[in-house]
Amino acid sequence: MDTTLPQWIGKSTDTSDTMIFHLVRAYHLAGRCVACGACERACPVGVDIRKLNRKLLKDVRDFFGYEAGLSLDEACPLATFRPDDPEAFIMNP
Amino acid sequence: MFSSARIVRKDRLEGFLERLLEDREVFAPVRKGGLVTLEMIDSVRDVILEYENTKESPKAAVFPQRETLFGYQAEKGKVALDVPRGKEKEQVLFGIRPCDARGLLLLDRVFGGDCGDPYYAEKRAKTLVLSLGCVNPNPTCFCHSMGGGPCSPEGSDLFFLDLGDRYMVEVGSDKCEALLEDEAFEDADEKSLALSEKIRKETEASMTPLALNENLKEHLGRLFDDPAWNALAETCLGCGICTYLCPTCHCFDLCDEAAGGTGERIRVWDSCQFPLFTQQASGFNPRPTVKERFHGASSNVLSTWISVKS
Amino acid sequence: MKNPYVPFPMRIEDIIVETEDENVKTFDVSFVGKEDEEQFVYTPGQFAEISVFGKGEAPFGMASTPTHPGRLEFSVSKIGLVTGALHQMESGDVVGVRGPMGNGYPLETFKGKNLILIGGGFGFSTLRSLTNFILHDSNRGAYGNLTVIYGARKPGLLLYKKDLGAWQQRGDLQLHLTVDKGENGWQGHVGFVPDVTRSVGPNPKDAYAVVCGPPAMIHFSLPVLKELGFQDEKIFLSLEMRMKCGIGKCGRCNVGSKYICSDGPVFSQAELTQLTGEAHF
Repeated sequence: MDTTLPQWIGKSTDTSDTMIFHLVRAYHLAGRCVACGACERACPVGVDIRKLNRKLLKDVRDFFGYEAGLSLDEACPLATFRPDDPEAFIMNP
Repeated sequence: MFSSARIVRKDRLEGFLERLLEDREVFAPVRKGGLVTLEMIDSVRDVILEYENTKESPKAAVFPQRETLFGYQAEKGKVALDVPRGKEKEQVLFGIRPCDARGLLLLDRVFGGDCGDPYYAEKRAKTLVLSLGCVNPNPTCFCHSMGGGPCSPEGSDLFFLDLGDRYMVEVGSDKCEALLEDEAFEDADEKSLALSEKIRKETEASMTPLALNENLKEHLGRLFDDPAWNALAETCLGCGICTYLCPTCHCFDLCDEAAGGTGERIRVWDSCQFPLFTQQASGFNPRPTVKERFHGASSNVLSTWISVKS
Repeated sequence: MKNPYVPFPMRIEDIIVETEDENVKTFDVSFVGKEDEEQFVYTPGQFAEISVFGKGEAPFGMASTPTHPGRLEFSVSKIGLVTGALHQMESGDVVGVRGPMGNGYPLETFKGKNLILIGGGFGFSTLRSLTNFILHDSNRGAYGNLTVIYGARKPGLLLYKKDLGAWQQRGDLQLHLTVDKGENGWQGHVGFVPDVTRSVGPNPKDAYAVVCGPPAMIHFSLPVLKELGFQDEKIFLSLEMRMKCGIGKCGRCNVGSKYICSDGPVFSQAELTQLTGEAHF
């Protein structure tokens, strides 16, 4: 019944935990975010969220030639696999 | 008004802070990334005193966001525990506002008492509060409606008030006996005493009081099921930032960070606005939606604190 | 200043599997440190926070009675991270204990009065502690008549079967066991706890009722007690909320102006009706 198992990230302020949080967020948004800015408008402490999201948008466009929100038919690149998917960033970080 | 008042001329302040830095940690308002925050300084030049308030409250100085309570090494049949050592130096919170100083007093009530928290107590004993009164309160400020005031020395070991070319310094406790021997402090003269009283009165008068009902606790109790909470809660994101920034919010979580039998029991900030806060093992949650959590925090802040006055 | 966050070690001596589905086990633990044993002075109704080093901590009511020194007993239902890890442990393993915590049952108030203890399922833990405490030679004379009503969903889910057997042999208490659903071999009563309470019909004069069990059982038992004439001040409940620190600081178990861990977990129904809507059953 414990919805916190397995524990994906720790509860404290360790850099590793903050990193995992951001990686999870990045993978959720990459290929999906359309930069509408609603998140930034909602943020009560003025975090420039769109700056992070714009980097995701740029990477997705550069690696996959894809921009979210332009086509109803095209599948999201992180939810699909093509044999010719770019791998350079995996081999050469 | 405290009897043993002093003055510090503005051109003497930097020297005073520099001498503090010699053998103490000093936290003061600085400009960082477009905001004013309370940071540990290593240079007096970073300190700014013309500001409304720091983004975060000073509670992290006595109640850190993450704290190791003890480490352990457990093997079959036995366990070894070790509690970390406390702070070595004193820490000075300089230039914080009266509302934040008062917040520390409320935290004292939570972490003190019969079952006192030694981690808090140790840091609190080594903390000196040198607050700065507000002479230009924010139009949205409401300390005066909560029993405080823009020029209230409550909770401060030394309370500074800007008189123009100098500060009036009121002594709130005997923790600062050693500090007062610094050459920056001179005895307060009648003119300064009168001016500080004038500034205090004028500043307090400039603030519009909130129209708070006298029998707030009773009314909030009666209004528990009122549909007005639905509309109010709709504006809430449930992000929990309110509890993060609030000088009196103190809810925390205890958890283990371990690999196998070796690890630490840590205490981390938690928030009553998070859904898992009151989630029980059976799956039942007495505050399942934002509405219950928003209502819980509001009534806690407005009525429960008042009823627990001791 | 004593550090209320650091547990002291206790060794698991014995593990009793209480239920047929093996989901509830009682852990019989002994003190590793003599000083810890001397300082751990508790009364029925209190609880302690048990640490499984490497996993975490959770609160459990005391199932043992202080009249049996040197050992503590906790009944643990396997449901999550800490309880799952506890269930994997064996005799000789060491756990951490912080406590005793909470206010316990109001023994002074109960002195000289008749007591009706109503428990359901897993909530019977602290009532077992209270019953054994009262039945002890040194205490029995201080209290009046003792009626214990205890029910579980099925016979295989009744806890403390050894105690129940021993109690049934005694003449100084009235024990009423019941199950929601009978099975082959069960010769006892079949029915819900509130209905059993109604048919036992305890007299409210000079009496206190203590109710401890699942919310549904409490919800239906309270009107029965009201019908029988029990005033709100004469009915005591042991509440549960998610707890962490156990010492009234972390805010988690807060209801209105009370902390369930330190102002409670035992409250009278009169006190509960004064708390805001959250505490209403």
